[in-house]
Amino acid sequence: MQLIKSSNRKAGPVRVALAAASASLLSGIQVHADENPWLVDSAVLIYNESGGRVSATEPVVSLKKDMGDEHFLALKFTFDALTGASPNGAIPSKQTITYTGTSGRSSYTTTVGKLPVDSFHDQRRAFGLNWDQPLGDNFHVSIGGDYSHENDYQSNGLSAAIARDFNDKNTTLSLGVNLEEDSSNAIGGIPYAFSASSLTSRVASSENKNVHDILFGISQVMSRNWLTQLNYSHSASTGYQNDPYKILSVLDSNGNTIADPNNTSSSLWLHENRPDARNRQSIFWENKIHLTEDVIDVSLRHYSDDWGIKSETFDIRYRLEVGENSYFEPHFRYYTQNAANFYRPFLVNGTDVINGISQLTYASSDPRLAKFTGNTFGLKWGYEIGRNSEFNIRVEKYDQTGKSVPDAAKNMFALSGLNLYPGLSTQTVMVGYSFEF
Amino acid sequence: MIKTQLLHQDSLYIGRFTAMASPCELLMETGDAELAQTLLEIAANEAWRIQQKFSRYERDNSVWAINNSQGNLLTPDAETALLLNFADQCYQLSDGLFDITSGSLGRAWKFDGSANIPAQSTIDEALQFVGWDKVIWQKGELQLPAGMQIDFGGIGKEYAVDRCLLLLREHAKVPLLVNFGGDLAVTGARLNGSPWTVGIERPDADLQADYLLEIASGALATSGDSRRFLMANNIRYSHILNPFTGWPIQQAPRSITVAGSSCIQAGMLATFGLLHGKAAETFLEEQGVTYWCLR
Repeated sequence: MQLIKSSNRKAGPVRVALAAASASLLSGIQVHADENPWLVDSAVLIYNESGGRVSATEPVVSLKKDMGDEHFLALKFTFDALTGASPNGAIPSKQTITYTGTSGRSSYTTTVGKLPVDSFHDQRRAFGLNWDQPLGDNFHVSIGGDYSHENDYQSNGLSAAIARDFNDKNTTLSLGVNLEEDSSNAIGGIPYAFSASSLTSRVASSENKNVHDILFGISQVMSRNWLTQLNYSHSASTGYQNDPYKILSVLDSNGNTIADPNNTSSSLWLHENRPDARNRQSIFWENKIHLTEDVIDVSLRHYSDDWGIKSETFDIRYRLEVGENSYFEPHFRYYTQNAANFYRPFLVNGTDVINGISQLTYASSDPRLAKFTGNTFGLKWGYEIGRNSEFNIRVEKYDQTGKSVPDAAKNMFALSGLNLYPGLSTQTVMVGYSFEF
Repeated sequence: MIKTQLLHQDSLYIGRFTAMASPCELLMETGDAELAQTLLEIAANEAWRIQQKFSRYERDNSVWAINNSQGNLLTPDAETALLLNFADQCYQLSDGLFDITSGSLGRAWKFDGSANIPAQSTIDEALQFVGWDKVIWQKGELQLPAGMQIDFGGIGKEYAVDRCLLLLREHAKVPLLVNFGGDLAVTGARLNGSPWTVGIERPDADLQADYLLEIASGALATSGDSRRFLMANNIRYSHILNPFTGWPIQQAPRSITVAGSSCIQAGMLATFGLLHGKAAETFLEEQGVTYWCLR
């Protein structure tokens, strides 16, 4: 048996010209208008929180095109319409309570025992641009920019990454950096730290923060069927970290609210305050394993930051090929975190707060900084229509539970029987369609 | 009666039919019989469509209209225009050796394995009607002087392979190999990642494949004289004619197999190789082509 010798010589001009001429001939008619089409990935996300709290519809479209020679241009557009109510940090109580909105204009009541929430109607537009290309034989670079805008929050970012292949492209080392500047222009302005919610004067109309990230990664082909990846990332954020809308309840030793010294007809709530800086680190390990036809994707992530939060995530997906063109992908994710150092479900008068003044440097009752565990169960179904074309639908259910009776509340008579942790239960449906043109 | 045949062998479905005077084969790595039948029909119909449209042996098709235009200006359809562009580019790239108007020489030469070499006067007469430089092809309009003929024979089969592969890919994501009389292309490697094994037919033995090669991407095309030739005075005249002299190319290899990214590119490189006659290997080496030459 003799084999054709593969030529090691560079392609001569006639060969190259013929390749181009052939491409023109074949790409010209009906089948594909473009040798290098735009690949479009679109999806609509419908998100719902139980209890009708938040609902969101988010369409996303991303386009990617090979500009030739593996130089890729990608664009992504997102439009978010979010309506609903999110917990404002105050705790439920047995008395009917009133709140003033941050603009001082609106005011709302809650019914007894139900979580106090702040209603909002927000639209967000986001746009991203990315350029990817090989550099020489072994390197790969990419740069990108992101812009996101909503009524009271803007974010701009720049990112760059370089990767190098070794060992016949079996090993890849990568290094990436990301710079982001965010601007918070809260409705009604940025409140003073720990100021009473009844106070109308404001520090400023907006505040900024900067984020710098660096990421190191190594990915390795372990065998024909197993790819593994390990990433380490470090992120430093400085500037305004507070959520301008979040407030903390101030309670007496029985768990009742106290009067606002500057406005005795109303209870006292104080705006939160977080440190000016946050440093985070995470290690992420992912494995993709290819069984005969199916694929398993399993990953672990360990995270810690200097606010005292540590978290662990375990994620597993199993892609089950069904027939020639479709697949099912069940998904399970487990997440657990402990609370930030300065997390307080509420403030206690006489210790944390004296005469309406906070004695703490930092405090926040944002449920996202509390100790909690979240489980996600999901199922995705996809159908391949053509070469680069797919329709898919994903359904996910997320349940988050935290401490319904924090230690500080244990002896408070007025709070007995109430669930003080705003748990979260969400359903998400995502419908996606990708195609090329 | 037009017909296709479908067989199941090991893990492959093999579809067979005849088109463009060649045995055509479609290898499909799938367990789905219905899909295999559908793909076979798509491939066969596309091959027959191209045959019907571009064969110079059919009446009332695109080529017939051009060859009977009596010197009038014509606006060919989009697909024909693309083929004409390609032919034009090949004419330039081969310095005139590849010429689709050399079909006129078909009046003088009949490659039927016999010993009938035409008289020089017949050849000279035919040469008057040969030469792409005599044709006006610009801005989508074609003017073929009366008496001249075009023939897409040197492009048609490879074009059909590439077109069929494109259409089949649109329809299903199954490893495929399309083989029209030795001109073949694959979608990619087989399901388990291994390449397809293809035998290269030796020009003088009949069906025994002596040389085996492996292909996991792109296409292979073979040009040669194994099926069409004239044999006279112990000289083998291949069917590739030099459009300047009117005679078959001298000392061309018996067959050249070329690997390329598309069948049409591979086929044209093989044809160019043959057109270089004695210097076939030198030309292919210079172009950095992956090839196999048999003399």
